Amino acid sequence: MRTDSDARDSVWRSPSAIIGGVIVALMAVLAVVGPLIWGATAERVDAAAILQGSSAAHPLGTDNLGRDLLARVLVAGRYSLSLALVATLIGAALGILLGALPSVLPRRAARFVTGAVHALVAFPGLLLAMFTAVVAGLGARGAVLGIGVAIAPGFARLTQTLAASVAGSDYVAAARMLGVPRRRVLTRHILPNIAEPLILNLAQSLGGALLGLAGMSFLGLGVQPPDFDWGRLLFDGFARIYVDPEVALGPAAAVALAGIGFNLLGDTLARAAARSSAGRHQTDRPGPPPAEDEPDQDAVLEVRDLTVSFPGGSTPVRGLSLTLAPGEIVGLVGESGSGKSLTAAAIGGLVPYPGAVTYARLRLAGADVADLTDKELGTALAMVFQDPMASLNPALRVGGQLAEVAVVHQGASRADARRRAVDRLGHVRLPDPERHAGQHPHELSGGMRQRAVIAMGLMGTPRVVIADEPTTALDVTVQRQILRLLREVVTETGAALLFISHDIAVVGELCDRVVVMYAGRVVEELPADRLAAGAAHPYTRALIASLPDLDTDRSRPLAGIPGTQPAPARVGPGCAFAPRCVLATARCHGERPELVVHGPRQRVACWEVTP
Amino acid sequence: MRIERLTVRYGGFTAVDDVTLDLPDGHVVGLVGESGSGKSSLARAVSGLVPYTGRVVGAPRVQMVFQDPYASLDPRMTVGETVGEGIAKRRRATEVPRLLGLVHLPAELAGRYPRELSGGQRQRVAIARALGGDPGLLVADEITGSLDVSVQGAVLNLVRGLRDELGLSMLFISHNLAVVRYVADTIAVMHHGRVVEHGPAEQVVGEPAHDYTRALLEAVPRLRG
Ligand code: SF4
Repeated sequence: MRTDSDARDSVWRSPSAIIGGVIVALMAVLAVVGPLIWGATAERVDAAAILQGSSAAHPLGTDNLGRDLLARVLVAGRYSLSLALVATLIGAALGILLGALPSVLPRRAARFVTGAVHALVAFPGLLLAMFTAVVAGLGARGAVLGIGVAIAPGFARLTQTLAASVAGSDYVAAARMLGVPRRRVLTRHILPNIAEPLILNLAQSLGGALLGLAGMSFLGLGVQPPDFDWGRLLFDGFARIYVDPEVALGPAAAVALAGIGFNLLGDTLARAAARSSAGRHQTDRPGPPPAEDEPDQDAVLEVRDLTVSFPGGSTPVRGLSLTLAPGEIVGLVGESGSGKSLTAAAIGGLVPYPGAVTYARLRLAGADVADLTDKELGTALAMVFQDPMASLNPALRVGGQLAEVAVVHQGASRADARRRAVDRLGHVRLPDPERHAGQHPHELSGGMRQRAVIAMGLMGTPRVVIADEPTTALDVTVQRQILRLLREVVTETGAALLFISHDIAVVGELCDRVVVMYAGRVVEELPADRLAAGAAHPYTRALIASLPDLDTDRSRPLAGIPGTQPAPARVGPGCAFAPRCVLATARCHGERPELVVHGPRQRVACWEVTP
Repeated sequence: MRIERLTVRYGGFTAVDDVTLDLPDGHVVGLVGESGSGKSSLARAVSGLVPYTGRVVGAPRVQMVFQDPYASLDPRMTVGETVGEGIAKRRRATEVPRLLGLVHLPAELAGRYPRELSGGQRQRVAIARALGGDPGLLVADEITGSLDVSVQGAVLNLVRGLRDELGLSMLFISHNLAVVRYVADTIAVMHHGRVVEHGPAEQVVGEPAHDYTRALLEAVPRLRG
């Protein structure tokens, strides 16, 4: 999809990505051509120029045999980088093996390996490297092995964590039930699904290995003369650092630069992989002209021509209009992909970056939303989401969070705010509000948390409550209680409620009026008590017919709607429902029907429904 | 088939408490209950995914279909590979198209990846994979829970069709009583780890014997008018 590749491109255009990329590319070139170009110079002994400092002929000075140090630094690149690469590969191979073993070993052995990995991760890496290097013998081989061993535990733990999450997935459970052997589960399901993050880690480890190896050589544990890598050059130059600092700074700079390059590149790779949908700023598209007519004075929420679009031509909400009167409960119903939740987000100013929101009018409680301060908006509008934990801070006590609202929005004193919080919690029928106010959100059940969120909305004096699937995650009996509570809140405060749900039965039961959305547009609006008998739009009718209830004839197949709702980027010029509609004609595919009045308080957008 | 005195404990918490349940051959037994009632733990125990005490008698080759078809298919395997997972290599070429046909999916879908399918199609793939294990009992755990209403009907029709055509025995779990009533021959109601009522579907819905069943029925949202 275009949005995806755009997002990835934007990651690659960030300064750190460019710097990382350039450095790594330079290092690669250096590794290839360095010894070819400067190899001879680096080895040329010059008795006349021993232990010199910086000069025009030797910018970084010379060593104890009069060899040019700049040339030696440039030549050492290949050796340093190859050693780092080998060390990383050894570490990765060891680590992945250790990390994957518990998935195939019997339980006791698996636990032993896991424990060992945990212990190794806690052990200082450099000590591990030095120990291994000393045991394996001085020299490049020992150092590479040492760094490899030091890298391995991190890889092992990453592999284990990733593998454990895949091993707990439903598809692995399904494979086990089908009798797929564990080794096959590992190679077919687990390894392919954890490969990507492991490869990313490889790039980042390369930088670390480079630094580590330089450190080993610097300590005299690594590369031994006559071979030389950056660390060795640093070691040799270090003795002269007070006399000719440049002889040590040259190799040090090379190590640092390479390390930074690999780390930046690794970061970029990780970010490009993590980022799949967010992207660049969209050039602001002009919205519809502001509405000419007078705003509806009776409305507490008036939305006119609301459009939400994302870069890449995806427009999930298209010219939606909606009006709520005080004390009215309006249900916004639609299936996944209809744009109903983004509509709520747009009204609350919560559309995620890089979405763009335009409208001809958006008024809340008699004022343009654009003119309201965040504080005024926060007081006049309360939002309740499907997951109450999205609105509650898990680290804070429930009562304190509610009180915070009163302190911030109404400037209440701490004690007053706290009293009001307990009062509101009691108001939403949270049993024993005093006690629950002092608890953390995780100590409450799902239903209680949702009550607490509603109570939070009631800390102010909301004129409009927007509830987005507030009962979807709850059990039916709890759902029933929350619906009743929402109705009470409306009756009592006179606020309007916009209730968003995929469940047309819930909407029909709770709401006064129902607005049906399909592919970003309103296709029908009608009083809730007319849903069962008076729905006119083919989509609304099909949706109701699809819903099994307690009287559905069990001997007949259930109705359904063939096909799927078009993706927001794929909505054509005609009626969006046409590909799934039994009544569709040629006109439906080419021309879009407008919402027109169809009987009392009912509007329908369909060519085949006669007014 | 029969579940006998089955108990599932997680540490000190008893999720399923001494449940005995008949699963007649070729029948769909519906299991309803709210979150924490133990219905999913029972399903996982019967499927051998969690340890339990007690016995599951005469239920060979239990296969399970999960709630979320986005999580239950390996994103890196094609539909054909997924459906063929439990089938011997030499029979795969003929079996995969047959299984896809059983769940009313075109055989061409075998080369596609899960991300190219809709939710309803994915759930059909998951059902086809389970059928590939030639199940003596199919456990369906909230299989329409994450589907849109407009595609839910087709999946439920498929479930009923499979019972009629293949004589498949099924344990069908859902929190939605209307859905369970539509597909199940008998309904068992679970509450706090126990089965509080079990009887023919129409009877449980029409003349509930237990208070909890009545409360559940009352809470089912209905269209007015
Ligand atoms: S306009 Fe045409 S395609 Fe759209 S709902 Fe009406 S009849 Fe169906």
